[in-house]
Amino acid sequence: MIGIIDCNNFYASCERNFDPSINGLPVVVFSNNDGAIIARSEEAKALGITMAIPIFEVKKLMQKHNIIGYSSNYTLYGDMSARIKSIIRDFFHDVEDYSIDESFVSCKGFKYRDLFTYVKDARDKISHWSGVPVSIGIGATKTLAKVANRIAKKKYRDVGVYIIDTEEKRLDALRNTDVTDVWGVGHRIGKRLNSVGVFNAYDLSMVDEDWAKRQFSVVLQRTVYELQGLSCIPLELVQPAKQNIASQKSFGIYQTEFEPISEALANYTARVAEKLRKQKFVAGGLTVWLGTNNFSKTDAQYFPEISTVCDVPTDYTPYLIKRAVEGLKAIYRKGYLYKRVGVMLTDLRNNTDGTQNLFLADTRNKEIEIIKKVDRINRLNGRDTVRSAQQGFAREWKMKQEHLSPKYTTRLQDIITIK
Amino acid sequence: MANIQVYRFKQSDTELPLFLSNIQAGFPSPADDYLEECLSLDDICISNAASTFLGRVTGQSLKDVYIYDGDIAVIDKSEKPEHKDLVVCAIDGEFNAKILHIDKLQGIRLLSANPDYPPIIIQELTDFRIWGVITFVIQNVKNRSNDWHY
Repeated sequence: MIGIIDCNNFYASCERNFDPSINGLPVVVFSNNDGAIIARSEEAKALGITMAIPIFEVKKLMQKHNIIGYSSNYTLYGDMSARIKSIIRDFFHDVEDYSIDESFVSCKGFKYRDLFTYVKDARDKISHWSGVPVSIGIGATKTLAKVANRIAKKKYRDVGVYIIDTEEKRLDALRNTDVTDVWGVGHRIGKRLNSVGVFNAYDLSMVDEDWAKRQFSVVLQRTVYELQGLSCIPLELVQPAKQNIASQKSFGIYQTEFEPISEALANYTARVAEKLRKQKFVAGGLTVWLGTNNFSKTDAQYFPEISTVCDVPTDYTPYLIKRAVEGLKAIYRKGYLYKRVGVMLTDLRNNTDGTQNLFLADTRNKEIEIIKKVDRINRLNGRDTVRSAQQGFAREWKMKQEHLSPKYTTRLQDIITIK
Repeated sequence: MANIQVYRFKQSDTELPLFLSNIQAGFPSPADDYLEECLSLDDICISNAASTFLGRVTGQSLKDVYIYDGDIAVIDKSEKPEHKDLVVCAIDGEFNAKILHIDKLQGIRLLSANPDYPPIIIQELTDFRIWGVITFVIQNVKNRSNDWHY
């Protein structure tokens, strides 16, 4: 048996955990640049706020019902996600972290325990200890676990656990699940399936597997098998080694000039370099790219990209920024409305791998010392207290985040206050 | 007479690398075999990191248990709240620190450690949740000594 543990309205629940004044009120979270809605509390869903809807379309509705909106606080969500994944491992041995708010778990070896009692207890503890409510669905395959999870959320919200452990339950669950709600199907394929008379998950489980492969893909064929109860998508327990670390963000407003774009790039590079050091890697190379707004029907489009190699694999921010900005110089052209810039560190190796250039060892030791101190100062006093001058201070490229909540779990000045 | 033993303390930089470069040369230190783990405040104050959060105390509602405005509370959400625990509750949209009092006769009450704040009977609360249990409090004693009657 495989389970999927999934946080209910994850981002909205994170916000609510640290602010009791919004308990029971409708809450939504905005995407980057406060553009669209990416998370909704149950109350907000009930008021008709749909997923991914642009904010300008629901402004009136939000005012009318006093719906509280937050900019996405990924620092907070990332930290909460790491906590929840750690708590999950207190209860389940084999875990695959599937996304920021979902983990697959193996329920093998639970045969002699009462599975429901165990999972229900785990679910309650994960929810209470983190402060974010979770739902657990369990089935013979990942796809069935997903179906069960939907039922847990929709029908047994207070219990938070649903297990498909009999043939009767499997058939009943499939008949009550729309084909577009099946894991991996989605709307486009769902529409095509509808046109040939496949409307719910049960219909899909009954189609000829070879037909599914011929007409659609091997992916859909697997889904058919999985719905029947034959597991074809195993748990991936080993996280593949990181091949690269990237950062790309959209600008709050279009940028045309080189200076602010290079400033943004320097900041993204500083971020990925921090991540690199945290993971104890050094980077052998980097790639930089630029982009206009590909959704615009009128703007001239330009998406250049450039890659380069470091003299020595390194994690030293000033060097990486220097190389990134050199790359940007080579691809930047005047006359476009730029919407994003990105950087990716490539050819990652462990920082103990001795591809050291003997003649540079002295500099390298100094760099290690300096960057250690910089990381320490920034950890204690807040990000970018000490920064590379190229990161600048103007920040006109910065994301719009007008409704950002405090970083309750990662910044001392932001912790909750208790009366 | 309080007896205080002094231990070597860990820098908050998680570890001290023995070699700062990848080029390892020279003799190992004869002390290497005798190195012991450093002490860390985390080991003392945090038993379940994933469920532990920090909060700042404001006001004087806990002054009789020597917890004051500005102190930092270590809150463990995995601790089961018990009689006489110091808990963080969400009451009417705010976080409050209270002493949980469970008594057959008086029911469950939330007490403050300050005579100016009357006990709260939880049956009378509409919006109430225990958010977590306070396990440790970090207090800047050096800034506090002016409050003492010595």
